[in-house]
Amino acid sequence: MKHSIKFIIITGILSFSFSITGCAGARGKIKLEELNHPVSMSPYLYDKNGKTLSINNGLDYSRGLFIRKKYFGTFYTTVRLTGDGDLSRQIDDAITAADSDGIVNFHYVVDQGGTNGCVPLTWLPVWPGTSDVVFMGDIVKLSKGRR
Amino acid sequence: MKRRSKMLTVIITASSVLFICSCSSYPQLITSQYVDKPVIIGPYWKIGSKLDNYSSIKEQDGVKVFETEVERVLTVTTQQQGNYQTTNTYSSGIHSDNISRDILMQNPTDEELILIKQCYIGAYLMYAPGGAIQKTFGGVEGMIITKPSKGK
Repeated sequence: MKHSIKFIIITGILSFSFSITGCAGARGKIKLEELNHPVSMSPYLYDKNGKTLSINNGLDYSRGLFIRKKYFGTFYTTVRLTGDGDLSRQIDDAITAADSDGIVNFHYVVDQGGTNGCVPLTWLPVWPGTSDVVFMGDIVKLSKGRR
Repeated sequence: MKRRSKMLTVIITASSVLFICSCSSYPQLITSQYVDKPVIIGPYWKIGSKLDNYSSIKEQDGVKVFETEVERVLTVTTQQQGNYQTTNTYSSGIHSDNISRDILMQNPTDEELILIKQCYIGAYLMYAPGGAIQKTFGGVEGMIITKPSKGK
């Protein structure tokens, strides 16, 4: 009986170890609570009167938004090390620099970071896993007639 | 001699899995481009006006809440059969268009505001003897609330 309990415990520990072995990466949350401009994840945006606008229909395209950000995580992705405070500022700066009013078609692409493939270092729980994220969108401003 | 060739086989097997998984880019796109209304992220819901209670808006009765996640998974397994080594690669996933679909399934009206409260992202590579899993994922959490009255 004692032996079988010991066997089950050891098997459990080994299974858990194998399941997390080499697992490296990162997770992140994006809230953008500090934004000072409207940002839409679809091609539409509301104007001052609440009317729906889109590019060539009340909005003019200024330039593209392109921000690269690396998210770090450790302890097999369970601990998040990167926040999103600076992302809000970067988006606001991009809109201000383009002398524009907001962003439409906001989207992003998530990919593996370079450190995730560094086996056997990824076996260490403190090894920093990474996720590379590229944020994109169309910076737009109100058409002249709507200002 | 035999030990050396075995060692070499193990090294080649491990390297091939690692190479396939660490060099292959398998990115996941997060978008809601097919929604025919503004999908607002952040406190500014229209040009020149913000929601004062944005950070305190919570799930209440009657508020439509949505949460959707998309992912791409690449699985590589290797098997040694005698002198032959086979490497199998599988890919699976949930398409990024699902985000738009899940939002539209809530049937938002013109009097309602689609609000993204939080987006999340993640990527990990799990490497173990005999194979590897590479996963990239992301999603959005949000709600559909009544539009603020005019002027707000």
